[in-house]
Amino acid sequence: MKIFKDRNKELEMEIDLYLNSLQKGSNTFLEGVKSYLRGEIEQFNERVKLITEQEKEADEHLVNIKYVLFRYNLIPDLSADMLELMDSMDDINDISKEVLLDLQVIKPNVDPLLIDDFGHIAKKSNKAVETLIKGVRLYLTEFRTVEDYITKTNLYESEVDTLLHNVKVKIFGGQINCTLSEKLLLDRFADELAALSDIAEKVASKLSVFRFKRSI
Amino acid sequence: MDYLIIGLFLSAGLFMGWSLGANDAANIFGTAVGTKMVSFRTAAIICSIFVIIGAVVGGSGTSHTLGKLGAINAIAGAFAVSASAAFTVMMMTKRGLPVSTSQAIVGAIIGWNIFAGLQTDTDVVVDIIQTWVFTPILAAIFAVIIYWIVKYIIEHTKIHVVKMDKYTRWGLIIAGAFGAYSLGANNIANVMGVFVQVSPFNDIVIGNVTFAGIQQLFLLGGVAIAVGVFTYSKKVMTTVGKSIFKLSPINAFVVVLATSLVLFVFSSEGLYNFLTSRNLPALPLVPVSQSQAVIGAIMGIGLAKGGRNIDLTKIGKISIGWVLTPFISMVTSFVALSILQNVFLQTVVG
Repeated sequence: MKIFKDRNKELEMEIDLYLNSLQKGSNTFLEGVKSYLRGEIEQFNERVKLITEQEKEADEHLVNIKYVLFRYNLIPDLSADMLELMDSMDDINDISKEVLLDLQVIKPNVDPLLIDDFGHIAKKSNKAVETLIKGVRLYLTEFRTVEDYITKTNLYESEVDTLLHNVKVKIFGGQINCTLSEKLLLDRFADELAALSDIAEKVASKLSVFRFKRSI
Repeated sequence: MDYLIIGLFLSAGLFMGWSLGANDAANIFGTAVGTKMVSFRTAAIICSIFVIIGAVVGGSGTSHTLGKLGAINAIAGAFAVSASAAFTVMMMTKRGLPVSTSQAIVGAIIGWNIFAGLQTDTDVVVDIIQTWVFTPILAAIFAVIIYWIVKYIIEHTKIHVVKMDKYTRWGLIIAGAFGAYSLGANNIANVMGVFVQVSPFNDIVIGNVTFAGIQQLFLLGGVAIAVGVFTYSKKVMTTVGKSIFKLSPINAFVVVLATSLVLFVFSSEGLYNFLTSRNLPALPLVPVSQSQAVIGAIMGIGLAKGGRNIDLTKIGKISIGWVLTPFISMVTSFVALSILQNVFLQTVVG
C-alpha cells in the first residue's frame, strides 16, 4: 500500500541509482574518448548514444531525489547540503555528454603524437570522478573516512593539470604539424577533457565542508 | 458545595495545567519540532496522550512532596495559590521565556504558608531547592554521557544518512513520549497538587478496578495540559528549538532523552522504592523544572563539544527568570489570598 511506502528507503535507493548513473556516465565518457582516439567511429557513436541516455537517466533520478527529499521533509538538517551536492554532481554527466557530442560534431583531427596524452587526460579525469563518487558514497555512510577520497580526487585533478600543461606545450611547441586553428581546436578539446576533473575537485571541496556538518 | 463553585475554583488548576502544557510540555518536543524532524501535530498528539498517562499512573509521589511543603486545606486557598502560580507562568511565557512551573507553584505555596501564619518546613524547602540546583547539572551529565554514546555509534557504524534520519525521528518520538510520561508524572503536582487535600472527587469502583478521586483529579489536570500543548506551545517550541543553541536533530534527541531521564528519576516511585529498599541513596520525588533540565542538557552538549556556540546572554536572561519566578509567584499568591479573603469573603485557610 502506498501509504506505508518507506520514503527513506526510496530516497536511499534514488541516491544510489543516481550515483550509479554518474559513474556509468563517466565510464562511458572515457570509453567514448578512447574510441574516438582509436578512430572506432561506430563504437564512438554508440557511446554518444549511451551517454545521452545515461545523462537523461541521471536527471530523472535527481528530480526524484529532490521530490522525495522535500515532499516528505527527509533529513531536514542536511537536505540543503545533500541537494547542493547532488546538483553539482549533475555537471559530471552534462560535461561528459558535451565533450562526446562536441567530438561527434567538430571531429577534431588528433595528431598521433597526442593520442596517448589525450587518453591519459581522459583516464585521469575519469579517475577523479570515480574517486569522488566513492567519497560521496562514504559521506552517506562512513563520513569519517571521506577525507582520504577528497585528497585523492584533488591529487588526480592536479595530475590532470600537469598532463594538460604538457599537452599544450606539445600542441604549441612545434612538435606537431598543423595550422593554428587546428591547434586551437585541440587546445579546446584538451581543456574539455580536463574540465571533468575540475568539476570533481569543485564537488570534493564542497564535500569536505559537508563532511564537517555531518559530525554531531 | 455547589458544583459550579467547585468548577470555578478548580479552573485555576486547569489554567495552571494549560500553562504547563504551553511551556514545559513544549520543552520535550521543542528541539524536535524546531529542527522540523517531528511535526508539531504529531508532537502534540503524542505529548498529550503520554502526559495524561503519566499524570494518572505516576503523579502521586511528587504531589505528596508538595503536600509536605504546604497542606492547603481550603479550596478557595488552593484556587488562589494555583491561580497565582499560573498567572506568573503566563506573564513570563508572554515574554517568550521557558519559565518553571515548579518554581512558580512552590513560591505560591510558601505565599499561602506566610498568609496562613504557618511555618514552612525548611527541610522540604531545602530538598526542593537542592533539586532545582541539581536538575540542570544532572541533565548536563546525562546529556554528555548520551552524547558520547550516540557520537560513538554514529562514527563507528555504517548507517546511511537517510536511515539515520529515520532512526533519529523514531528516537525523538520515543524519547518524547517517555519525556511526556515523566512530565505528567512529575509535574502534575504543580497542576493539581494543591487540590489534593480538598479534592471534590470520590473513588469510582468498576468491578475490581478502582479509579481513585485523586486520579480523576490528575486526569483532569492531564487534559488541561494537553489543551495547553495544542493551543499555545508552538511559540515556546520554536524558542527552545532554535534560539538558545543550534541543535542538529541528533543533538535534539540527546537533549530530549537527557531531559526525560531527569524528570523520570525525580518522579518514579518505583525507582525510589527500589533504591531505598536496597539502602541506596535515592533522589527525592520532587516536581522539577523542565526548563532547567532542557537548558542543562543543551549546555551539556555544548560542553561535550568544547563549549562553543552557547548563547550565554540568553541563558543568563533565562536564569534571571528562574530567580524571579518563585519570588513573583509568592508575592502574587499572598496578594491574591488577601483579596479573596477580604474582598470576596472566602475561606482561604481551613
